[in-house]
Amino acid sequence: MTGARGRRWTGAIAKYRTGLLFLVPAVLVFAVFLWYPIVENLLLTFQSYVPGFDKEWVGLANLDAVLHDPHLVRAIVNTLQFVGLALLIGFAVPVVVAIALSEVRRGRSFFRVAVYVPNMLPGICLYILWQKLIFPPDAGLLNQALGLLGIPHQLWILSPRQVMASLVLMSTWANFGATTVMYMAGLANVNPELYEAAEMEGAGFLQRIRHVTLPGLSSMLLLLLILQLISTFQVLQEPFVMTSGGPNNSSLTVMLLVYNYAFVDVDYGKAGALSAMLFVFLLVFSCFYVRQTGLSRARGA
Amino acid sequence: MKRTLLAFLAILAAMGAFAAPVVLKVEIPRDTPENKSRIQAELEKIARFEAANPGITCQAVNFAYDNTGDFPVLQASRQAPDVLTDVWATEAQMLVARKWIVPLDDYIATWDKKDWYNADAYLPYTVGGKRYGVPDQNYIKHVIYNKALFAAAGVPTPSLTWTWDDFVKAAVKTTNKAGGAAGFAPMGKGAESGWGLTDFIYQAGGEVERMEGGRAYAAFDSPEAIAAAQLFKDLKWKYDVIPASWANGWGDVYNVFGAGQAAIVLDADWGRNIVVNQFKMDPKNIGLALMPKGPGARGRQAGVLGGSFDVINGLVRSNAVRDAAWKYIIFEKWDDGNLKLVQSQIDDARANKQFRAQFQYSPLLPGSPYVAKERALLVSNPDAAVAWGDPVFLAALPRTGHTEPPVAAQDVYGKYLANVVQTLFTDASADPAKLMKDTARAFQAEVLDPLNAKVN
Repeated sequence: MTGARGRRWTGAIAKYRTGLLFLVPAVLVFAVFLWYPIVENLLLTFQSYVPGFDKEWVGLANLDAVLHDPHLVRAIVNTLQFVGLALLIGFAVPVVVAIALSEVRRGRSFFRVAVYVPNMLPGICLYILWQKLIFPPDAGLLNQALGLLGIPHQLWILSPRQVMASLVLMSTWANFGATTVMYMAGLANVNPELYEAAEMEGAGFLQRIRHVTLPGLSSMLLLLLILQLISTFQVLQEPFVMTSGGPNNSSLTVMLLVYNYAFVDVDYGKAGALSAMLFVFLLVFSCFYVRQTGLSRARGA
Repeated sequence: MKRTLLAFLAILAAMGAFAAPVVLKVEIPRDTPENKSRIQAELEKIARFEAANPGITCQAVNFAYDNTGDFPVLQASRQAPDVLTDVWATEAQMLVARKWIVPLDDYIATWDKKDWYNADAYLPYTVGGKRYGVPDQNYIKHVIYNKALFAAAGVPTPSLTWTWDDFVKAAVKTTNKAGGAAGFAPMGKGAESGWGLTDFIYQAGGEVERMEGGRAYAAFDSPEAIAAAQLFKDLKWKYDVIPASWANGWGDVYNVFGAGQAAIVLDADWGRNIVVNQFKMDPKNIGLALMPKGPGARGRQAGVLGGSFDVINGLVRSNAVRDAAWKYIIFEKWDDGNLKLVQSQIDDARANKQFRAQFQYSPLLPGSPYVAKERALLVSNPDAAVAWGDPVFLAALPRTGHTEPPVAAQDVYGKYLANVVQTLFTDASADPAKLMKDTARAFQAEVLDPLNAKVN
């Protein structure tokens, strides 16, 4: 390091040494439990590893094996289906509910708690509830409700065509509350004078939402959209617990395939390869998204 | 004087007096409240072993083998036990391929009890002509049925030679969908669904794999295997005897049975523990029957023969530790010391106000004195143990055992036959013949051919 640059670094460290010291534990924890495993996983892409024995470099063999796996295309298609449905249903519902609740004059606190209750359910309770009480085609609550409307019973997670939508429905019910509460907080920050001005201009309810509410929430919407996309691309719990990837691989997702590679096939190289591919895809996608949407420059993001 | 002392020390060293003790990592049950007596019994066994083998020090490791559990993690950190007990029969190929277990032929050859076993007992852990495990427990899958539901529907007790037709009739008569009861609840989710279809393939006279010249070939595209797939399809769409929520895993099926929502299920050994202990079903209300016989000249009564084995960890490099591991495996094997472990399981069950209700099937030859003592132990503890099966059933059961597919069993169960089952249960227009042929072709190309390529 040249003298001038070195002096600048030394000066900066000296100036901020207290803050840097506070950062050391967090950096250590992240380094050991997050960054190191990520690097190891990326290296595993090019290695053959049997626990207890030394790793062997195998070049691109793991990537080749993954790309030639006949289940890969199915897993990608299923994952895209889940992401798309989650965008359609899971992204829109919290916004709609938040806007609706913000219009409620009485009992807003009660509804705020009510929508959050599913978030508080432990995962295993959630899965048992939906698997045993809500989804069963013969006596499940969903089909009972549809029956009241004259709609025939559906198979839900037992149908290859309906399974992904069913999992999205369950996931949305379980998670929309937290996002709704966040949107409600965002709505509270929208300047009420904008609504007044819009009303004076003759804007109707839907026009106020389109021209005042949604622009006011735009930063939050953009941020939560990318977070949701990243999360839904990594969907694992729902198909793992509810369907084991069935019926007939129709709910097999990319992360479930990674799990199968690692813990069923005991092939950590392929698991590393596929998870690295997903990681790189999400990284590139996120960078592209942030750049295109200007998210990093948005206020309140 | 000095020379005398040096000579004396040299003699002692040669006798191993100064040899460091061999440290052997051995398995004891996981430290949970349900395992207190078992852990104590294992620790007492370790103490007796150390007393009988000075120079060997045991280090107890809380562990229970599970194919998706923490075994690989423990291997990576070299903390896994040196002696692994209760390792599933289907794991042999995977463990051998990863060099996680070692051949035991040289040890077995010197063992005085090696011929105590049934002829097929070693087969699941015989890979490439070498034996890698010592049989510990076996199971042969069979039928368990709800006697009350059978009686209410007027269905006679299954005979020892009942057939698919009898099985279907029993399932049809005990089905009461309006009342929430299905005649037969198969496993429809996960690898266990393929495991269940395999039973019926065997009953029809078919096979899942055949071996030729050391290479494996998919065999479930045969007419017999297709007949088994057709039966599954008919059970769902023609006879409607399986639950509407058919996607039941291993545990789910016994929940359904225990709740009185299915009259017939298949079980190896442990499923009835759930039924008896969680659903408090009276063991006297649970009937046992052999698997039904498939149709045609090749039909037979057959259920998967599996079990658990004792093996030596392949990471053990030292001959001294391997020798110690072998001594531990055979220590008190099939003698009264083994009975202490069974007693500890009964004691744990009693302490938890439960039953030791798993089906006990020994890999030893019929008439073995140990088997008689073990059964007597179960019978003498009727408040905390169940001794399943009458002498007639127990005498007939061994002939129905059929070993699991020798190569990539978990793959064929979970990735291929499971999809067949789920397609048959979701698509009324599925063609069992096409499905089985396409699936067999895929399994051959994707799994068996790459493995066969490594065979010299």
